[in-house]
Order: sequence, then C-alpha cells, then structure tokens
Amino acid sequence: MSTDERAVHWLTERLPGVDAGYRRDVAATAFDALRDAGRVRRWLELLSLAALALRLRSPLRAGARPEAVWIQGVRVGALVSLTAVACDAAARGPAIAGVGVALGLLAAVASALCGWRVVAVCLVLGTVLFELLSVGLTVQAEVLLTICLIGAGGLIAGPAGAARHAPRVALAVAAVALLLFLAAVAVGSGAPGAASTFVFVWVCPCALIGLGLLDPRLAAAATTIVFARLAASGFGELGHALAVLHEGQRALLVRWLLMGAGVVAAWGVTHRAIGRQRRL
Amino acid sequence: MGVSDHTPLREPTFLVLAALAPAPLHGYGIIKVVEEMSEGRVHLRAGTLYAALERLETQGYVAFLGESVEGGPARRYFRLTEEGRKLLTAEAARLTANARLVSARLGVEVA
Repeated sequence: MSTDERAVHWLTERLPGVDAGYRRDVAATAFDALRDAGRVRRWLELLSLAALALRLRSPLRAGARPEAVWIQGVRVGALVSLTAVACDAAARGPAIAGVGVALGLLAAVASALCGWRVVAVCLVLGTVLFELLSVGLTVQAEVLLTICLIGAGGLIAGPAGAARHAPRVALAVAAVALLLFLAAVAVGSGAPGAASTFVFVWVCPCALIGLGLLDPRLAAAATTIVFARLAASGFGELGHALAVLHEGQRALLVRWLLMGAGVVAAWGVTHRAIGRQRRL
Repeated sequence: MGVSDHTPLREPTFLVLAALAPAPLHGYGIIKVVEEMSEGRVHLRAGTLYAALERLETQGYVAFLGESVEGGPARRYFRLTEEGRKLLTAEAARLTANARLVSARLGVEVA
C-alpha cells in the first residue's frame, strides 16, 4: 500500500457519523482521483478529505442550530483559555503561586473534560482566590482573574457531559504544562513564557479561525479566546492608549485595535461558516 | 425550505446536479462527467464532491440508489430526486434569464 493510500485510509476512517460503506466509497473515489495525479493534485485530494472530515463534524454534533454551534464553541474556547493561563503559570517556574495556579487550572480543565462542570467551576474560582491571596491584586492577577471568570462562564454556558477522548486530551494538556515548567526550571521563565504566549495568543486563535471556515464551532472558540484576552488586557489599555496618543505612543492603541479586529474577524467567520453549512 | 430558498447554487453543486440529470452515477463517475461537461475547467476533489452530496442528500435533492460492483470495489450510486430536478431546472432558468439580460444589454446573440 502506498503512502497516499495509507493517508486516504487514515483520513476516511476519521469521517464522523458515517457508515463503513460510505467510508469505503469515499476511499474508492479518492483512489481513482489519485491515480495518475501529480504531486500537487495528490496533496489537494488529501486536503479535501481532511476538510470533509472537519465539515461533517459540526452538523453531526450541533445540527443546523446556530445557538448549539456557539454553545459548543464557547466551551472549547473556555477550555483553551484556561489551559493557556495554566501553561503561562507553569512557565513561571518553581514559584509556589505559579505551581498552585497551574495545578488548580489543570485540574479544572480535566474535570470539565470529564463532564464534572460544578467541580471545574469551583476549581477555577478557588484558583483565582489562591492567586489573589498569594500575590495580591497585581496586573498579572487581574489578567488571570478576568480570563478565569470568562472561562468559568464559558464552562457554565457550554454543554454538559464529557468531551470525546477526555482522558487523552487532559493528559496532553498536562504534558504541555509540565514541559513548560521543566523548561522554566532549566532555562528560566523568559523563553517558556514567551513560547506559551505566542502559541496561545497568536497561533491557536489564528489556526482555530482558519479551521472555523470548515467547522464553525472552532471559530466560535477563537472568538471566546480572543475576547477573553481583549477583556483581560485590552480595555484597560484602551484608556491608556488614548491618553498617550497625543504623545505619539501608538503601539498600545494598535495592539488594542488588532485584538478588537480579531474578535470581530472570529465572530464574522463563525457567522459565515454557519450560513455556509446550509448553502448548496 | 423551497427550491427558491436554495438558489443561486454554487457552481460545483450545480454541476453535480447536472451530471446526475441523465442517469445515476457513482462518485468518480460524477467527477469525470463534471470535468467533461466543463471542458476541464472544473475538477472536483473527492472531499468537495462528498461534502456537496451530503448537503444535497440531507435536503432531499439527491438520493442514495444502492451499491454496485463492476470489476472493482463496491460503489455507491447517487440519483437526482424529483425535487433535485426542480431545483436544477429553476437554477438553469435563472442563469438563462441572466444570460439573456446581459446579451440584450451587450447587443449580442445568446449561443
């Protein structure tokens, strides 16, 4: 079996909500299309199968109801936002406050993934209290407080029940946080912290917005993540940016505008992708 | 939802319906017919085709006819339903009316 054929089998096995006959048929059609195709066309065929797998997910799990798309997306966004804060805290290194926040939020994310929503919300609120008692009402604590409150709200608003592959996802999240912690212990908190911020503030929302064109729940998740970041740091910065604008310091305003544009773009992609699901 | 709620159609959807108009076809058959009809201009990917078929089947415009084995793996055949035929007719009429309109404005004959 060639690499392309293995890839087709792997992708068609991941088509959700369809029977084995449908998977075989899609694979047979893809094999025919791949025959005599050049390298670029072969890649495009495989990408189209990956896109099909994503496209079939949202109608299967949320139906044609926009509110269900938003509710499921907000839950994913809340989980990613809480994971981001946990990873940021882990990247602080062996400080008691950072370790406590990371452990509390990782436990909250794991609980939410397993469907224990009340436990998860209590853990989030407990972690916020722990951070405030540990370091006081610093700028860092304010950011954590805002994102955690939005995250807890997302968990409450989101659907009840366990996520698919919950133990595996929880272990993966814990492994990423542990890696960041070990990196912080080894090389200091600068680089791991920057890497965590880069991945969760830029890479993750951009990827979710792109994939959200196929599965609108992912764009809804990106909307939640970017909004949480905007609320955590942007609103305060807006006033400051406007105050210092006449002095020529435009960087803060540009940052605020970029984050605001991110929220609007993610919302727009969600809205458009929901509409495209029904369009023939 | 009526036929008019689903027009205008996207080009791949329109061509898939047009391919199925004369007779039922399997997936790769639809891809080949669409390529021939469009003189090589439109090449449907397998993922694009099955996404369109899934939407058309959900809305009742295309139906799964059955599986058939012709010297290879089992193939699923799809057919145009009566509603699908109405949708295709409505879209063709819309496109023809638009073509006539533009031709009249340009002062050229419609081929």
